[in-house]
Amino acid sequence: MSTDTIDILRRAEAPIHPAPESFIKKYIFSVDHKVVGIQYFIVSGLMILLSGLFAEAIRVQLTGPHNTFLTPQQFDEAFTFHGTLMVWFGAIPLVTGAFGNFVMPLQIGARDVAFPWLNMFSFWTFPPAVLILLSSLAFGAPNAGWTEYPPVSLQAGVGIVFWTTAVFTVGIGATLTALNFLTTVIKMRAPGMTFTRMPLFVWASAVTAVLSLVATTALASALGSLFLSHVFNVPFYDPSRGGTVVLFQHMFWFYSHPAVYILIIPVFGIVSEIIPTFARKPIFGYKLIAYSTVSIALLSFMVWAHHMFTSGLGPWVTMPFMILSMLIAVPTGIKIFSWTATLFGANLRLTTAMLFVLGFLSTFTIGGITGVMLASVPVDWHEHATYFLVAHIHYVLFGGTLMGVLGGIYYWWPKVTGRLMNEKLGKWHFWLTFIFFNATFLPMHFVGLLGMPRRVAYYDPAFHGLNLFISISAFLLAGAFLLLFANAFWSLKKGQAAGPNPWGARTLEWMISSPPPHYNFKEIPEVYSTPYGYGEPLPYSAPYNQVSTTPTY
Amino acid sequence: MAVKTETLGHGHGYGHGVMTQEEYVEQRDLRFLGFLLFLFTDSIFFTAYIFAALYLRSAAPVWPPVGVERPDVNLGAVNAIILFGSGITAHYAMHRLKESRLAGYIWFTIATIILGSAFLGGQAYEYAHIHATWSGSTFGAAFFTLTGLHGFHVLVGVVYLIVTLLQSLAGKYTPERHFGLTAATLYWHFVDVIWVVLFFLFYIY
Amino acid sequence: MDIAHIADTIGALGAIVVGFFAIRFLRKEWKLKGADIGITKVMLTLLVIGCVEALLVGLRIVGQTPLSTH
Repeated sequence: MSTDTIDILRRAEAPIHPAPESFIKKYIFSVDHKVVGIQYFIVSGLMILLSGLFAEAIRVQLTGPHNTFLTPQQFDEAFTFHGTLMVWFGAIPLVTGAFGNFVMPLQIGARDVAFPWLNMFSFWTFPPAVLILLSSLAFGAPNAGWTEYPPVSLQAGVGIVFWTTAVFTVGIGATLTALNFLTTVIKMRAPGMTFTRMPLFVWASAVTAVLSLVATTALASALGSLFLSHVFNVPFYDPSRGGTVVLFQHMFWFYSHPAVYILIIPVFGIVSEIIPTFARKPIFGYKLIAYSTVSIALLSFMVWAHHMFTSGLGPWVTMPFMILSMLIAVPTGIKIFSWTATLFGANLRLTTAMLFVLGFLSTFTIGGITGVMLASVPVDWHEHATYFLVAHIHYVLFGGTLMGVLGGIYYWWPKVTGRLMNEKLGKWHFWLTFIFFNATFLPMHFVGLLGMPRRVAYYDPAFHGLNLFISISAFLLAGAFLLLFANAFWSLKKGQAAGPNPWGARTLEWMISSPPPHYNFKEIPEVYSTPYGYGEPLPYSAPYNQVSTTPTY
Repeated sequence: MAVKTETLGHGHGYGHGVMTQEEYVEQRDLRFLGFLLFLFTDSIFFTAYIFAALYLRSAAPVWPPVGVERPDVNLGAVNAIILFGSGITAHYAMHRLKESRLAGYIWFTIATIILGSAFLGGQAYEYAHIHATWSGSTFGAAFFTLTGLHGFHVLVGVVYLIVTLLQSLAGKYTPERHFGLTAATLYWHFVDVIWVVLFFLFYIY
Repeated sequence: MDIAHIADTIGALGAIVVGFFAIRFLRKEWKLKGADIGITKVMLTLLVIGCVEALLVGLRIVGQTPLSTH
């Protein structure tokens, strides 16, 4: 703010607050960003499992063209809950709430986020939102898909009211988290850590926070209008009283397109941390990666109507949106090429985390390419609302976000728990996930191109063979996740002690013990350079430059 | 130097005990930035509905639709001036506190609260007399949603001002340390400025 | 003189008074620096615009719809 600011939070001798002693303050209503991060991890992880079960129910139904496992109504509810839970209750809290909370303050050398109490509050909007959402199952569940387009969404029971309330509530938590993170990154970096010395995950978290601040509130207004339409019969979306349903699509996608980047940009950050660590090389194009993140964020606000090419917008609207959408491939390509260039000529260490990131690179690139295809108006007219679209989004969100997140879990697990995971089991997990992921979603491209529509409980018997193959692969893909749980339990019980820096990484979170003490840094470190200077001495003040960067796993 | 245990670490530091000036400045800077980000994200909420209103307007052959009337512009202007005037008194109050003139601060804050409440009363009068309903037309939908949202913000602002007034009577704020008041004043200005846009949108345009 | 003219007069006079104070504050704060002052400047500028709106309405230049009675 003003020049007379004295940065006591950045002072080396800043005093340390004693750890809370009671169980409730320590584990339930904790204000410690690490505990909040773990809380987010557990709840959003459970949501992803639940959402996965809905997905498996969909796949069971689709094993045969006219199965009676689910009624069409239940089928609609299943894909609605699958999408809703995955996007708002699983993936977004996982990448921001869990990873952002645990890792970001450690990486900037802070003792906590800017508003620790608010952080706790943000988390505690989350479990009630889950309960509200699930209670809608009892009151005429919403069944218009996770996008809840009117008029279909307004024709269902009162469940839509619960649905909007739940997503609104979780959105409040997301907005407050974003506000908190942005303040933290701007104000609480360790002395010497200029913006261009920040780890790339911090860049990603900060940009995601900006996206979240703008977009989540816009979503809240869309949800609010849906709520008012249902409860007070307000005619936003009723054409008989002058309303228009396309308005909802505009309001919804103005949020939900940036939301795609809220889901993927933190994962870009995770990938940018893991690749140099296991390539043992400085990351190629640090500034390019950082600035391309910013430009992706800016562009993401200008492309929302590419979700609406089949909604009857005129060519003067669709053409600019098509061009801008395709333009996003440029900054994304810059990232992909920078990561590939980092891998080039490196002595790769193929740990589980690294394998997942390599898996991310290949599957996300395929998802990106089909994204450019769908951004083209004529192609989109043909492929919209077919399984080709489903395949695209799962290549981006499963093959991109979830694959990167799994890499992040294997990477930071030793930091969070203090114990290593089993690498052998982890590699089995990776290969099964990678193979069955592709076996599940690659054929969806084909059935989509052949014209199989999404969100329909029955299908033409001509698609039976491929659908059966997809369903069996999907069951095996779910089974692969059991290996992750087995590995986690094994690690907690018998895992080898990790030590402060098992991977030989160079960012600040690895310079302190695993798990970190409640105050993180006994003295606030000073930072002299970017963290990615492999082969050079650590750029931190003593004692943080004493940590060994030789991998010990 | 005595070790201060109540200052940093996990949260419940500030607000308890007496902060040094440095700690106050640090906390004030954090909270100021956080508050600005809050106002920013709140403004997005209004912006989204304003664009929705413009979209509905563009979809309508005549605006306001047939059978619907705008609220009365002349009375609306008086009501708007009441709200804008409260922005000026809020500003005065802030300056009086900075100049350590507590009595002036108190009176100007009371004036702000009265003007804010008068605006809410004026809006209630308008709601009672307008020829439009929330569920009857898209004009009504946009008008009642946006002005209702704004009215809610004004109500929150009035309560916020009353709370800060009571706090300052209890001696919480000093000419050097008054972040809570700065935030309340900024929030009040924000509420004012939203009305500049809404007044244009619904009464004039 | 009907209620609309009274409202006009009050609106226009009020706009001039409020606008005068807003401009005065703006001039005072113009040279000061600091983030909160910067925000206040933006807010005050918009407030002046609001006063111009109200003044134009009061002078019956814009926004003329008949006074609804019932």
